[in-house]
Amino acid sequence: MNEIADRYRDQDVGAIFLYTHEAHPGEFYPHLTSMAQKFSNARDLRDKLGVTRPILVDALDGACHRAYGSMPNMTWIFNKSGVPVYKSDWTDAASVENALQYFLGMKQRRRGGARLAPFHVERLDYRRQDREGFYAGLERNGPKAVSEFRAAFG
Amino acid sequence: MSDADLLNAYNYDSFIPENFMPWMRFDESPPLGERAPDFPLWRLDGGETSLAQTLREHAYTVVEFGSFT
Repeated sequence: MNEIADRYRDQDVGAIFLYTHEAHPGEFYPHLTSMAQKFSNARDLRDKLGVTRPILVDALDGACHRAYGSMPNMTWIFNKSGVPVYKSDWTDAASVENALQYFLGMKQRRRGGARLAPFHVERLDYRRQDREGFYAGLERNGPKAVSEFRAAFG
Repeated sequence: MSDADLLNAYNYDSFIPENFMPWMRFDESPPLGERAPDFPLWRLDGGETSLAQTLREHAYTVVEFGSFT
């Protein structure tokens, strides 16, 4: 997702990471109890996990996250007017880039004189599953995060 | 639900289905094509901004939601 942000920056596409709540709390990263802790974890996301996009932090009660469906790692694309034009209940870079290319192409078509009207489409996209990588991520949070996920999903 | 109960429920301390399943509400999220709700957000330096203010900066903005864990 960082690479996509870099690749489309000069086409007037912005990208942010919106910090929500700890989906898999563990001994090293327990559940959030303060904004100070939330800011600290968000800085770790930047410094330890290498998120280079601007990080914005939601309220401690997750007001924004909850209003948008509170999925643990979803992605939305908005236009300049604050209207969502894409939403995905999981983040997949290929899906996001595919959507961006479509919207940027639509801008070009309009510049070329095409009269376009919006319509709704539903599509089932597919993401790569990386179970080993996911468990390695859980281990960063602490053994509790690993055992709880294993108990929930095997 | 009181504010304190909401804080505790949203910031659950264990990843067990009764804690996280109630928050999986993507099917209730705002529809595409209509202006979506705005909320205050904070930069890492503590400065306050908002979702709408951030979205006004570019023709399109990709917003990934998530956390360290």
